[in-house]
Amino acid sequence: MISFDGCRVVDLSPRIKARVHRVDGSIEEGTTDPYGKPWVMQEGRFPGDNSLFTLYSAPADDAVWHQERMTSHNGAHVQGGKGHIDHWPGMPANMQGVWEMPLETFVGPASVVSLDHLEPRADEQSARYPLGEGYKLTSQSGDLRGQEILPEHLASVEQGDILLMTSCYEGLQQPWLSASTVKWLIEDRQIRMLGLQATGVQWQYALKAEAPANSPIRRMLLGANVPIAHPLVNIDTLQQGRVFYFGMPLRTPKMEASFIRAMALEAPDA
Amino acid sequence: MTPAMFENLSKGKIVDLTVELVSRLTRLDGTIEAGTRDVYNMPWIVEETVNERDGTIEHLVGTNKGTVAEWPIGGLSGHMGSHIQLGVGHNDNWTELPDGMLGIWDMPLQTYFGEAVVCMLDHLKGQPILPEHLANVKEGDIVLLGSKWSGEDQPWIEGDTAFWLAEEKKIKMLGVAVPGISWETNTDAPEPNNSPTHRAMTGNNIPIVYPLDNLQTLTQERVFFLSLPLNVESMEGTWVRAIAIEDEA
Repeated sequence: MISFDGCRVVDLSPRIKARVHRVDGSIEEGTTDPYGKPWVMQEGRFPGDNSLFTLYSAPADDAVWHQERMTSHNGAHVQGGKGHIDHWPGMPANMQGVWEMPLETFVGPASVVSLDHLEPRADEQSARYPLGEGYKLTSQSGDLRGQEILPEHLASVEQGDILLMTSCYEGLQQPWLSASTVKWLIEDRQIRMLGLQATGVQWQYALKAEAPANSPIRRMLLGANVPIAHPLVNIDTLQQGRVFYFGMPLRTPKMEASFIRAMALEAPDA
Repeated sequence: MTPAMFENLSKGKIVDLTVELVSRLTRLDGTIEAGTRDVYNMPWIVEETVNERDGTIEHLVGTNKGTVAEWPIGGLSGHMGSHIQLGVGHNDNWTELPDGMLGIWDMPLQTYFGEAVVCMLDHLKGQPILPEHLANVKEGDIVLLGSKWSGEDQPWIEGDTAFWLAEEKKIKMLGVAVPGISWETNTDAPEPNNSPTHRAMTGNNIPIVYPLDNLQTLTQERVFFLSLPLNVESMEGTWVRAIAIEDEA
């Protein structure tokens, strides 16, 4: 029988402590996900058996969250293109939702890439960095910026892999995913999913550019039906270059992104 | 190079045991696309909203209280569709439950996957499930129960059988197909005689995952089973994607 006995289990989903409004009126404070989003709940009592439950919902006067509802993007989640960016000009018609993809998309051997060796540099390449300080959209030559991630940095990625990426850098010192490298990941490596640690890789840029130049990395990946899972944690603690990954969406068709519990398993014999 | 262990795993057959719950979706233009309900009449409700940061569409989960007649409570609980639950925050308000009960978030991740025994009980139309019907259960198993029956024809878990599973067989997790199995009894009996399966499982820190689907499509008596809860502390029940992986035939 299939077994993971002896494997090292690594939780890749950030722990969020829910902020709970109890039935007695008390409030238990919570924490946020790596992007600063909370998880607010309201306790209720089920009269059928006197058990308790919690609703994923904030009361109107909650001090932390500004509205009753939160989205499916709170905490670790996986997103596809349909329902999420299919209203953008230039997206392909055959883009799928996460509910339409086979489960094997979200389960299987994964390549782990840590890019700690891509130290930020202050040279002429800095001008290519896709973000700038403050509200500037670009950087200047000589700014201290992360390096472009190139195919040669991803040589361990095998065809059909799930790819898990991170680095030890933050902000504008994070190495960045360029359109040409993502094209290579899609067409040459044919990755089936990309998982990203909360910080470590710069991939969300040109967010306000005019379509179809906006959000190039999201466009390319989701347009090629390569879902993106984020914000993950603990990728940096993985000790092996190849792991077995689980991070499946809920089975709720039409929901453009889904909460996930993501996990990696490291083999005992590797 | 992929470890040999993972190469073999990749050849397994994944069987989705999760109930499909189609979202009731409100579009940006106000149109509403109907969804489905689970066997307990629970919906999944979302509404489109635009993320102003990048112009993507995201889904707000649930609905505002009092705005949708068929779901006036507004928010969605963790008990919609296939979900997993434990005692803390759920039934630890009941009397005469043991000390030391844990929440889902307190348990190691290894609790939620492993070797499972599949018990299809088609021969027990409208009968109690007794230990003698579960002879293939080994100590420490994840136990998946199902049958082809529904309504009053479903076999039910006797309270004594629930405690036998929990305390003698020390099962790791209980998964139940619904319809198929009536897994709880005496829900409105006075405490402490109410809901013996809840008491047996959550009192012994054994998670319950239900309603499951597709158990009848499994072809092997022993499978790898996985249903990971969300990593949210204080959420007493969470939605799951439950799967089995069968060996390559």
